[in-house]
Amino acid sequence: MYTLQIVIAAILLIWLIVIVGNIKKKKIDLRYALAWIALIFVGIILDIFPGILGALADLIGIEIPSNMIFMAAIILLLVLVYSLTATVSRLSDKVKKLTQELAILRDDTFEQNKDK
Amino acid sequence: MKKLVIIPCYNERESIVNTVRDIKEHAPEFDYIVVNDCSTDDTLDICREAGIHTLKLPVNLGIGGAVQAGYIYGVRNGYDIAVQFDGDGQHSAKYLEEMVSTLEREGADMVIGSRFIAHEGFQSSGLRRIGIKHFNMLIKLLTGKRITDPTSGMRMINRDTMIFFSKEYPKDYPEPESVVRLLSLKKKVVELPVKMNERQGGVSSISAMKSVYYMIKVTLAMLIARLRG
Repeated sequence: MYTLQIVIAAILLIWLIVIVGNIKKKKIDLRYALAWIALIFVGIILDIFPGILGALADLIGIEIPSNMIFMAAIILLLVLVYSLTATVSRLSDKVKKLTQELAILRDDTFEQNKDK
Repeated sequence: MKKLVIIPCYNERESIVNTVRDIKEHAPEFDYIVVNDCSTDDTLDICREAGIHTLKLPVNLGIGGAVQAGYIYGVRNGYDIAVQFDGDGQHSAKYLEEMVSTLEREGADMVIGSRFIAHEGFQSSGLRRIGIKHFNMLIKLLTGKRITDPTSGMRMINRDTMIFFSKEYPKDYPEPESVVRLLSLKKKVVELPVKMNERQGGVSSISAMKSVYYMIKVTLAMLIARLRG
């Protein structure tokens, strides 16, 4: 085992503990943290078996295995960011609907109070 | 004692009227509230026409959010007991009184109507059964308690638990995770054998594709729920 592998494993494990801690404290939702947890597990597997990355690099035609790591990381981050984009879109839609409903509810209440 | 039946409802136009009728007939001492989770069909119109009391969510929250809305309603209106009851015709109101007496007799915090104690009635599809077995093992491992039907939507709780759930309740697939949460807080969870029917109409909210995601997510959630303690 190279030192780098151990260092990366340690970083990933600490990151995992921090994320689980934040879920416990209800700072982040498990649903969205799932992607990060999946990422960490993939990272740990690739860290313990660096041969996988090497094999993948040869398969795809990448010369330097470390470039494979960068490419994999960038792709994973892009996927994560995209899923966040989708989530934000849905949330903003919900906020819009709530705002509209609230406005109509306020008006209803106002009208009711006027009639009393 | 004020008792409330909470009926979460998403696109259950075929079965919602019969469900409420079942409750009025076999559990008349219970109040009920249908929580309409922003149905996209004419469920809300049907409820309005039938004079069914509904909580009209302006936005879809999913089963967790909808049931929690029911619990908040229950807390605010001074209810002592709340029971979750499916709006799709799978549950029978005739068991409700028995659930109340079990809750009181055992001093339980939650009474679950379990399909799998007496193995009668609709036993759910094969894939779901595998999932349920998985959760049973996990719960035994995490809490030491044997719960035969952790995903059952027929659950009765007392006021303390209602207050707890009104503040903290999982958004997705809440049933197994909330059971683990209660058990890890040393609350008393008791089961009662019930018979359930196949759903009358509409479509289940958990498709086969989502099942794998469901298993992973709920397993993880249960582990974390146990940790929080």
